[in-house]
Amino acid sequence: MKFGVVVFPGSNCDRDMFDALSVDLQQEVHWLWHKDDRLTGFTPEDCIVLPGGFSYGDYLRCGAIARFSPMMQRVIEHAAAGGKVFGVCNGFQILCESQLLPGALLRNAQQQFVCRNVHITDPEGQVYRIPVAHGEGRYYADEATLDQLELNGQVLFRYCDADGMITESANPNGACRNIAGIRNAAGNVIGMMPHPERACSSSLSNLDGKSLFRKWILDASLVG
Amino acid sequence: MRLLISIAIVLISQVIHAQNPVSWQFQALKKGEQEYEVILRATIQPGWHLYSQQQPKDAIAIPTSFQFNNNPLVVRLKNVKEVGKMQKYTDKTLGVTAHQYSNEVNFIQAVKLRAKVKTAITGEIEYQVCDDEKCLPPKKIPFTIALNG
Repeated sequence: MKFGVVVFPGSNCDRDMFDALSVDLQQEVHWLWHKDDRLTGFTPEDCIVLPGGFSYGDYLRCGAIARFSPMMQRVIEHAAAGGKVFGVCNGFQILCESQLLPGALLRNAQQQFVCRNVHITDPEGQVYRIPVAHGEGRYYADEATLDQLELNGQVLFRYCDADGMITESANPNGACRNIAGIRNAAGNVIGMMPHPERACSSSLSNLDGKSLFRKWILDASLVG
Repeated sequence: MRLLISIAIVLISQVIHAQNPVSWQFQALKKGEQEYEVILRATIQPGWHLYSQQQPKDAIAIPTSFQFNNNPLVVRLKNVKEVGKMQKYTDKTLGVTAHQYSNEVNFIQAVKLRAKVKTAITGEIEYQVCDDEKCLPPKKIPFTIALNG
C-alpha cells in the first residue's frame, strides 16, 4: 500500500502527515495536488489522505469548497471503487461534505477553538493520547444515523478520559456521543478529528499516533 | 444569655447536620449485552424511615427522588423500581400518611448502553429521613456508577 497526501490551498498539516507516514512509519508517500484531475498510479489498495488545515480558507463552511476540487472528484471515485481514504480534521470535514461519510462537523459547543491533547478510545478499548486542534469539530448526526453507526460498528474513536471512560468532561467539543472518528459502512473510508500524525515521533514525546496508524490504517481496518 | 442561646442553636443545628441515618451504596449489575441494573441501596438506621418515590396525597414528607444527568450513550429503561418492604404509615397526631421504608431499600434503574463502551451514569438523589419524633432536613447526594460496556 502506498499513500497519497492531497494538498489543498490552506492545508497546513500536509507536511506533518507526509513526514509521519514516510519517516516515522516508513511508508511510500506521494504528494497529490488539488487541481490535478487524475490519480495516476493509485489502485484501491492505496490510501488517499486528506490532511488537516483550512482548505480554500474554509470559507462558506469547512470543507465545503474543497469537496468540489478536481482532485476530490477522483477521490470520490477512488472510494466508490473500494479504495482507501483517510481524513484528519479538515480532511474529516471534507469527507462529510463529500458525503463519503455521514454527518457533519459543527462549531465546537463552547464556541472556541480547542488545541490540546485529548484521549480517545477505539472499539477494542485501547486508549490513545492524541492532540486536537479545531474550531469546528463537534460531530453531529441525527439520532437515526447515530444508531445506524453504532449498529454497524462504524464509530471508531470516542473521546474519553485517560482510563478509557467516556464522560462528558472528556468531550472537548460537544460531539454527539463523544464521537471523534467514524468509518463508512464499507469500511474503506475513515475520518477523525484528532491528529495522529502529530503523535508519531519520540521527539514529540508521544507515539500513540503510530499505534493508531498501524492498527487502523496500515492493518486490516481499511478494507480495500 | 443571647450568646448562650446562639451557641445552643449552632450546636443543635450541627448535631442535626451531623446525623446521617441513611448510608448509600451504588452498583451496576450486568443483565445482558450492554444492559445493566443500576442499584442504589439505602441502608437505614433503626428507628428512622426513608420515603418512597410515590406518596399519598396527604403526605408531608419529601419523597425520595432521582435526577439522572444526561448521557447520550445511556438509555434509561422504565422508571426507578423500588425493592423493599414498604410500610403504609399513618401519623395519628398530624393526621397524615406516608409510604416509607425501614432498614433497607433498593432503588433499581434499568439502563441500556447504545454502544459497547466504558461510561458512567451520574446524578443526584434527594431524600429525607424521619423518626417518630422528628425529620431531618432534606439532603442531596451525588452518585457516579461505572458501566463497563
